[in-house]
Amino acid sequence: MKKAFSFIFITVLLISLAMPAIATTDTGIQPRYTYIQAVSTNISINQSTGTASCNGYITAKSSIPVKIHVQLQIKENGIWRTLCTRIANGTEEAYVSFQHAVEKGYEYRVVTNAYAYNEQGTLVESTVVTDFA
Amino acid sequence: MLENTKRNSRVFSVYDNMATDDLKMLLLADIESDDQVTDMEVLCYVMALVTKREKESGIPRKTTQEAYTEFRNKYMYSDDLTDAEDIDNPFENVEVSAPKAPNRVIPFMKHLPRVAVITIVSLGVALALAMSVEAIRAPVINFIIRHFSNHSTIFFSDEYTEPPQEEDIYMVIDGAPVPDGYGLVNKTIQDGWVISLLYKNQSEDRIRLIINVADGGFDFDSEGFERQEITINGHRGTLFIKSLEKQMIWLDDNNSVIFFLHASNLDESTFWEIAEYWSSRQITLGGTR
Repeated sequence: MKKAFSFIFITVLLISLAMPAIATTDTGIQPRYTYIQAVSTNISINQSTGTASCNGYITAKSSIPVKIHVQLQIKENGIWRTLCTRIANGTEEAYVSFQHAVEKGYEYRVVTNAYAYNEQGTLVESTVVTDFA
Repeated sequence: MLENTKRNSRVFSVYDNMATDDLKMLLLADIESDDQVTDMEVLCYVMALVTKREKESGIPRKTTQEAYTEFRNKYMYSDDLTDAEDIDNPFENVEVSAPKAPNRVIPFMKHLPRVAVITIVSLGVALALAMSVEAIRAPVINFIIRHFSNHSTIFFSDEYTEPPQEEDIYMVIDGAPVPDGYGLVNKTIQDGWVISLLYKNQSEDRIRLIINVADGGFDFDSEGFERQEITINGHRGTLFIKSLEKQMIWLDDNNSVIFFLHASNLDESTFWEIAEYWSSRQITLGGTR
C-alpha cells in the first residue's frame, strides 16, 4: 500500500513539475513583447527546382522603426552555417522574402531576428523565430 | 584478493604517510572540484584509510566495502544511478585493515534502488502524459499553440490539404466590415505568404489583421491576456482579451492560412463581426508551400 501511495505521489509530483518545464524550455529567456506585436518566419524548399523560399515578417504595436534580419542556414557536420542573409527596415512593419539555391541531403533552417527601436533609434526590443525545413 | 591487496598497497601507499586531516582535505577538495574525472579507487582507499584511523581513535570503523558503498552514494547521483548499478566493486571482499565490522546501512540508502526505479518509471509516465498533450492536438487542428507567460507561439504541422479556389484578396478587403471612424491606413500583400492590414481611427485606435501562411513559426504578444478557446465559422481558434484590447487567432479550413486579428480598443460585438467576416473567406497563400 505504501508503495502504491509512493508511486502515485511521485507520479503526480513529476507531472506537475514536468508540465511547466516542457512549456517553457524551448527558448530559455522568453521575449517580452512591449513594442512588437507579432513576428513570423518560414522556410519551404522546392525540391524540383532546388530552391529555398525564406520569409520573415515583423509588425509593431505602434509606428516605430523596426528591422527584420533573416538568415538561411545549412547544417554541415553538425554546425549551422549561414548561406544567405537579408535585412529590411521599416516603420511599424518590415518583411523579407527571398529565394536561394539549396542542395539535397542537407538540413536547412531560417533564423529570423526581429528588432524594434524607439524614436531615437535605440534598440528597445528584439526576438528571434526559427523555422526548419 | 592477494593481488588486489598488493596492487592497492603499491599504488596507494603514498596516502598511508599522509595525516588524517590532510586526507580529509583531499576528499573535501575532490567533492568541491568541478572536475568530472574521479579516481574511484583512490577515493575508496582514502576513505577507508580515514575510517581506519578514526576507528583507532575510537570512532566506529568501516570496511572497504562500506567505504565503496559510501563513495557510490556520495559520488553517483540519480543520473548515474543506472550505470552505477553495473559498475563492479573493485574492492569487493577486500579490507584495508581491520576485521569486518557489522553492516551499517543507512535506511534511505537501503531503499535507494527501489526509489530509483519508482522515480524512473514515474518520470517516464509523466513525460508520456506531457508529450501527449501536444500530440493530441496536432491531428485535430494542425497546429500547436504554446502560451508562455508573456507571448504565444504557434508551430504548424506538415500536414497540408489543397486549398479550394481562392477569392480575390482585393475584393475581400474591399468587402470587409470597417467600424465607424476607422479607415484602412496600411495594406501589405506579400506574394504567397503574408497579408497585413491596418485600420485606424482618429484616436489612433488600431485594428490589425495578419493573414499568414500556416507554415513555420508565428510569435505574438499575449502577455496579460485572458484566453478562451472559441469556434468561429467552424474554425477552432483562441480569443485573447485584455480589457478593451482583443485578439483572435484561427486557422482556415485547409490548415494553410492563419488569421491573426487584433484590436486595441473595440467592443466585443464589432470585433466578432470582423472576425466572422474574415473567417468565412477563402484566402490562399499557398505560394510558399
